[in-house]
Amino acid sequence: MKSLTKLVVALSLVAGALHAQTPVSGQALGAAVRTPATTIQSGQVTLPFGGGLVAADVDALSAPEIRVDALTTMTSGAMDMQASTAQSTAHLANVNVLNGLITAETVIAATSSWVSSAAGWNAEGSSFTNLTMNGVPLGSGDYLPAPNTRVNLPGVGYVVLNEQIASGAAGITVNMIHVVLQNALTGLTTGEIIVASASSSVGN
Amino acid sequence: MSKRTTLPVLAGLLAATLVPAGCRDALSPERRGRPAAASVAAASGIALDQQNGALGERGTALIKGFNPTNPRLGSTIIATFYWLGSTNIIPTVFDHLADGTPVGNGYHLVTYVTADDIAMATFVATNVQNFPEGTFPSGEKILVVEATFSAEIADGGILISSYTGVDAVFDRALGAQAVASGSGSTATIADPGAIEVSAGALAYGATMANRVVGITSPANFTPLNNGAMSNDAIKTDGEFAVQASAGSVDPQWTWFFDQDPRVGTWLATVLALNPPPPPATHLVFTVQPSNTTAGSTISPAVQVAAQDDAGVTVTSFAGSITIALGTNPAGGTLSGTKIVTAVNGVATFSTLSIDRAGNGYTLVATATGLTGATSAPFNIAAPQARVDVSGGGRIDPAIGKTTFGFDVDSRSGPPFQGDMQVVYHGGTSPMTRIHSVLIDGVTSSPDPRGGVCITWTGSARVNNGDQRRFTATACDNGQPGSSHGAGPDRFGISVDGSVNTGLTDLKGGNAQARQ
Repeated sequence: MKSLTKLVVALSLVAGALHAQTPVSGQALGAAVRTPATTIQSGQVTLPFGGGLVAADVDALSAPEIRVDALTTMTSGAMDMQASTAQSTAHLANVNVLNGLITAETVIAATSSWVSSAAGWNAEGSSFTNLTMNGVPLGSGDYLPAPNTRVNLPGVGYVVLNEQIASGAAGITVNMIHVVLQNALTGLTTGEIIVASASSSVGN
Repeated sequence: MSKRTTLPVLAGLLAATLVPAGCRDALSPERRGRPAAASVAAASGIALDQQNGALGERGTALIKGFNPTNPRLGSTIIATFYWLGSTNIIPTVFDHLADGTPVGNGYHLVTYVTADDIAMATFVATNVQNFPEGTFPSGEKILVVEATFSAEIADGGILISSYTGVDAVFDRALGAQAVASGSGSTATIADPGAIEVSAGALAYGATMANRVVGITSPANFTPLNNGAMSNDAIKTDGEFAVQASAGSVDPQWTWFFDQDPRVGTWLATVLALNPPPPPATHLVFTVQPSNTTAGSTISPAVQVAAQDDAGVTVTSFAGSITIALGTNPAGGTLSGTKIVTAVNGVATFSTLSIDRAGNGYTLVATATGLTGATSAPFNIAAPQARVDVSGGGRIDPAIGKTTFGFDVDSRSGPPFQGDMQVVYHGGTSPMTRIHSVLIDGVTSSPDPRGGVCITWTGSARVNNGDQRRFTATACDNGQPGSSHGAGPDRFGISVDGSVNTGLTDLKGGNAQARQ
């Protein structure tokens, strides 16, 4: 099964000779669920070639695996002779994953990519607010775990928090919550849940 | 004369045969305004200098010298050749001294006309050089004009005249021309047609007929070579006038063909030769510098013309014109190509720019030997802010964590193309979304951190409710990335005063303003 991660990562551009007025791309995703019983992609936006702004609002998302009160995704970008930039955000309110296994008051994924005199990216602005796991708060208030923090979820699989996947010199994907569902007996992957994903890339 | 007289023989022949008159016309009616002097000064700078002519030539060459006095160096020679024939069979006109020394001036065919087996061609050489000035009674240093024919002619002649004061450049000197032919059995007007001439120009006319009958000269023209020339087969006349003012010239001869029982055929030509243009005396800004922004090319291109005292651009001026800042209210620097060679008297400065904003700049133009010029005042404005802005990211104002995205093109309106989305979520309160539906104003201002701030206004829906006015600002400090350069970029939005983030540093994302 192709993973959603691969789908998102595929939107990031391969590293190469980067310079100003290079193509920009971006994508944001509110939430995605792929299990044998459920397939959801909510609030997905993709930046058109040449830049601009694309945004999507979802008032409520409710599925057996996830509930979200509201989400907004945005991706924007521009290119000119001085610089080419792209940035994406996914902003979710009152997130509940797997019936309270993971909750957060706010989840924001934010990425920024640029090529000017130099190329770069960051995920600044990404954070959780009042993140809990199994009812236990992780951090307090605004919280951002280290990139690619893996937490096992016994009987469920595991979750990667603040999953960051770099792509080239100016490409980044951030998945704030990436739950990998596994068969408790075999350990085989049975599905995945992605909450708050943002990607941006400049170059080709 | 034989077919082609060799030059050593010619020198001797000239003294005997090249007298300044052909056969005089015994049948000519009374003439008007015939001058007595050989040199006629005109109101302008053009004046008749020397003249000569003859008919009754035959063979393969028509030759005539300015005996006994050569033209002045730099003068212009007009040579009209007449012959019996129906095609132009003159491949070459050249000059030499009577002793055979080549001179080498270039003779240009200007007019040619033929009818009823008579033909007439007029050649012009400007700025003649390379011969001695003065009078040469013995003849050997006389300047001779010669036309070679590609076939033998049975009868022909030549009228030569020289003029001072004609523009030395042939292409510039040559004005309009006209030729015509006709026939008649009564008194017939020979009219080559009217031509337009400039002030001070020389109008030269010539006519020819195959009947030796009476002829009257054109009004206000002066006969050359003491009037018409004739032999037993053809009759010719050459005239000139110097025009005091610009206008139309239309020389008309009357051929009295009623004096001959046969129908007569006439040819006529007129041409104009211009005096040199008046010298340039001063410079003038013909295209003034326009207001523009600092660093931008002044457009349209500034043009400076070299003009004469009458304010006419001297198209022959091809000198260098230099431009510089005159009044410099802001200590600006003028960039671009500042020394330009004039083309047709005009120098075009197409790459000028000034680096600093200020009001009341002037440019000064100078050229060697000419009075300079100062332009009208003009203004240099601060550079226009970059007019497009896009970006997105996150700020954390007091109202709650806010994410945003925008893309605004200020060149497209108003209303302006673009879009903006802002969402904030404060604690347990519901998420609030602001989505633009109309952008009707865009302004820019310098960012104290460097770069530029773009502010756009318009109408937005808040949570899909009624439209409300908003004002949003994004500041690009010139560096991509939220934490690079002179501090993060900033973003802020207010909606009808009820929502106000303030202009807040980005916590993530980027704003990019661009031209």
